[in-house]
Amino acid sequence: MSCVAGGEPVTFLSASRGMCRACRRMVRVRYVARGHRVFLERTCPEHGVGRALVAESVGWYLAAMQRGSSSRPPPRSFPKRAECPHDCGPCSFHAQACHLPVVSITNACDLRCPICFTYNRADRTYFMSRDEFVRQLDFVIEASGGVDLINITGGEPTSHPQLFDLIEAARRTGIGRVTLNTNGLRLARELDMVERLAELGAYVVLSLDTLDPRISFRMHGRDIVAEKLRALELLDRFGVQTTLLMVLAGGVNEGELGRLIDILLERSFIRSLTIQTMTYTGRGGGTFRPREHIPVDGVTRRVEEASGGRIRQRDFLPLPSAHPLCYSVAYFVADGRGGARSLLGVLDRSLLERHLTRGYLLDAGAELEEALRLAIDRVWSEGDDPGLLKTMKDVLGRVFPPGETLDRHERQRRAEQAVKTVYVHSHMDEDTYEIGRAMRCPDQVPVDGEKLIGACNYNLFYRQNDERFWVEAGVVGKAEVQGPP
Amino acid sequence: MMQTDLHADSASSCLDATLALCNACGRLCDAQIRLDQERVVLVKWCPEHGITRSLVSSDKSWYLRSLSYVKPGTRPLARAFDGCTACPGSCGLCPDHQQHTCVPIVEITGSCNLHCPICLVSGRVGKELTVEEVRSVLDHLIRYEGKINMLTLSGGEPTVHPELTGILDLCRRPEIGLVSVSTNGIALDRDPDLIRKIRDRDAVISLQFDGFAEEVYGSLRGRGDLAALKQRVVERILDAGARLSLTVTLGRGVNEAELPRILDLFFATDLVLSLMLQPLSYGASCDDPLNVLTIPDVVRLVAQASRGRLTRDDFTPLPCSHPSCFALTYLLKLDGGALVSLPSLIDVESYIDIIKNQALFGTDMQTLERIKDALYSLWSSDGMLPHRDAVLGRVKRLLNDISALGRAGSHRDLIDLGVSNVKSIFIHHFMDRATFDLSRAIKCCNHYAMPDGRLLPACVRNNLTAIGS
Repeated sequence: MSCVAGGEPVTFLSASRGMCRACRRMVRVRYVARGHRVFLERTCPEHGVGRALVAESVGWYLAAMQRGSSSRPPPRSFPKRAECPHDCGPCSFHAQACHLPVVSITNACDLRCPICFTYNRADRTYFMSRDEFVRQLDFVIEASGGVDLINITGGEPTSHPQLFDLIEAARRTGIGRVTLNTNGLRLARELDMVERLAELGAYVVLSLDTLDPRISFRMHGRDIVAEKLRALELLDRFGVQTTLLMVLAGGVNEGELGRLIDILLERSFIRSLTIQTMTYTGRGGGTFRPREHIPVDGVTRRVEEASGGRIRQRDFLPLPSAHPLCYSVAYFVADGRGGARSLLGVLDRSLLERHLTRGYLLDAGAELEEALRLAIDRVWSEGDDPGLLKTMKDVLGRVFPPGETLDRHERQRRAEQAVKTVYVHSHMDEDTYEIGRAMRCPDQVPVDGEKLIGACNYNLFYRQNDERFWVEAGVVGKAEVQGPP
Repeated sequence: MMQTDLHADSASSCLDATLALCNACGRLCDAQIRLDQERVVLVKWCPEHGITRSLVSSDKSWYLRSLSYVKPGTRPLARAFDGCTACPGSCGLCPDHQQHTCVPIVEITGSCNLHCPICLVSGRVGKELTVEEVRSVLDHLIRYEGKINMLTLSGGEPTVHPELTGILDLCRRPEIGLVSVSTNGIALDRDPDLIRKIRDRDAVISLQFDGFAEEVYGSLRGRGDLAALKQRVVERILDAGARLSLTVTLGRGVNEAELPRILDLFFATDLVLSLMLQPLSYGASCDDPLNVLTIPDVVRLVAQASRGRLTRDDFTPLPCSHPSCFALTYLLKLDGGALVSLPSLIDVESYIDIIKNQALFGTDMQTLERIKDALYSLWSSDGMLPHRDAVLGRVKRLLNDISALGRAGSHRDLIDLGVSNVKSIFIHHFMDRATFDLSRAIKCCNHYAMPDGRLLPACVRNNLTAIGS
């Protein structure tokens, strides 16, 4: 059971705590470089050693880990009473404020995806009431001091009978924008629903993992490609600002990346592409095969390959508000013909990082305006990119209209019109869970109007204990979570 | 329950997680390594005592840069334990440990003729090892490591051991390169003959030397009169032609001002092989763990105190241990007495590669060839480097000397050749309860060789007393 095995040079990096896949208990873990790759290795006293790839390049990992996440202290936290992940709240030891509240408004879903990484009970349907939803929002705003974004998810949230009431309730001071996760099946059937979402200004996060029917069958349990295409068509028709959410499963749909990048860069209503690495946990993901973890830098490498170099690995930077193994982001000015120009080539990296400290959206403030003006001067003086110059002047004119003052969210919305974003997001599963990542998590799930629990902590330890979403203890290796000792 | 806010400073950010010890009770607990303005701070949470903190590095840039100097560990030939339980459960070493034993320490006695207020190892039992027990410890070491570049005999105070010379004789075996006796010097003052006995057995006297002022010794050692004694002992050692290494415990507000004269002494004679600077480690109770000396402070102080002979750039972390544990520089002696630092001669990548996994400058042919190659490749691009011809001449001569030794040259001969051509300055930051970081302990190369065959990382033994006993 040696942790120093194999022929490659082994470089120990750091020690922490994580979890055992077999017994789901908290165990010691360590980050170790083997050759050029970085693994999280765990040792369970009972179940031995396990290992998962967390970075393809130790050079990237070390550089990323040197940046530190800018942490915004939560306006309200609870005294820490137990070791992480127990009694998650966030407690006074949590290193990050809530930037993205994630609210599951139902457990109902019209799909049974083999890749599903959450727990949803099928025997009893739960719909969050409007009152409860409002209570959660009150709490989120109080505990976070206001957020740029809120994410409504499920189950499949479009199955909620009062969906629009809930979205309207979320359109309030303290919440910049509502994003709605959906598999798109209902949108494909109901044009009215898309139209209504457009009226409400909600952003749609459309799951789109593949355009290949066979792969769809493997990932979703049936072929839903036609529905996805129809949903896209309707979202386009009504100009609903849309994020494509792709789950990238190693050995399954890596070949689909290129087509999704094309859609991102060519279609004007698509704001961003979020690539989530496959999370091998939950009712589907826990048994999904092959189990090939793709780390964040593995995704960015594949993106560079699949995009034919239009999007390069070096265009990505770790999201400053999260752990580098959790999030990377790249911003582009798209020319609408499939080409893209990285904002890192236009704006200074440290400036971009500074403006991302609130979370996911560029903070379109005075400093960004000044930086854009300087960048325009530079592009103009270099004189070799008239298309880019025009685009940037456009952006400036729209985001900072002369003689007009826009509120922050409106400025942000306009800034984004000209920008395409690629997020790479890696959730943790039993193999990759490590408390250092959990402690820096900015995506938090409001629970019972009194807790904000880091998304992966919630997913791995709490959701199964919530009878609205899961059946009873012990059914699927129920996680060991307790209150204060 | 104490419940300080993690975000006491709104500008702080989280760098990594690790496991550390509660400042109050020493329990192993979750910790974050945080950037706090220009500093790096360890913040821990204990179920009983809440959040406590300690300063890890006063210079964020130094700390962050050092993180990229990590190198693969070397596996020992054998270990005391085959299986691992959660670290440090099966310590001594188990397969989870990520570095071999570079500088083993053998505590030949627990007795000491001083009672320093700052003693790291106080409270240990006074039992001394018999010569046979030392032989068995050495056998274990050689089984684990094959050969040992440098062995430290320590204590307690090793010179109070009645059979020190017998033990030194025992250490003269081909697998062991250099032996040093870590001493406070009191016995050498009483018995100058002992200096000659040590010299005649080719051992280095590693003298605890904290400076020249009485107040310094009063504060660190509880005896101001040691100031005169230490200077007397240094003279006697040098007069006897014995090889000397100076070990300085450096306390904030205690003896930083002593550094210029200490460095003068280090530079004055070839008999002083090395200087070891140890920022004070506070054991279980540190009054102000956010206001202590850390490695980058010492680097800065040394550069300031060196009267232009050293710069901060001459120092790099030692890549074989955890980068927060050691910093060092090697100084090549040139004919005419000048010294030139190796990192100023060759590019940092080659240098780090050359010094990895050795806390002593070993003059094996391979290392020197690499230095020569690195010199040539750098110099072909820039002819303006100082001492160019003198340096190259010296390296070539070293290569010739090694060739001349040929196959007959023992490990020991090579080490001797190394220390007579290269001086070193090491900064070693032992961890105390407040600064203890399990990630550092796992990469430790500085082990106590225990009579029971275990090899305990120094800071594990010093801070986790249940394991050390």
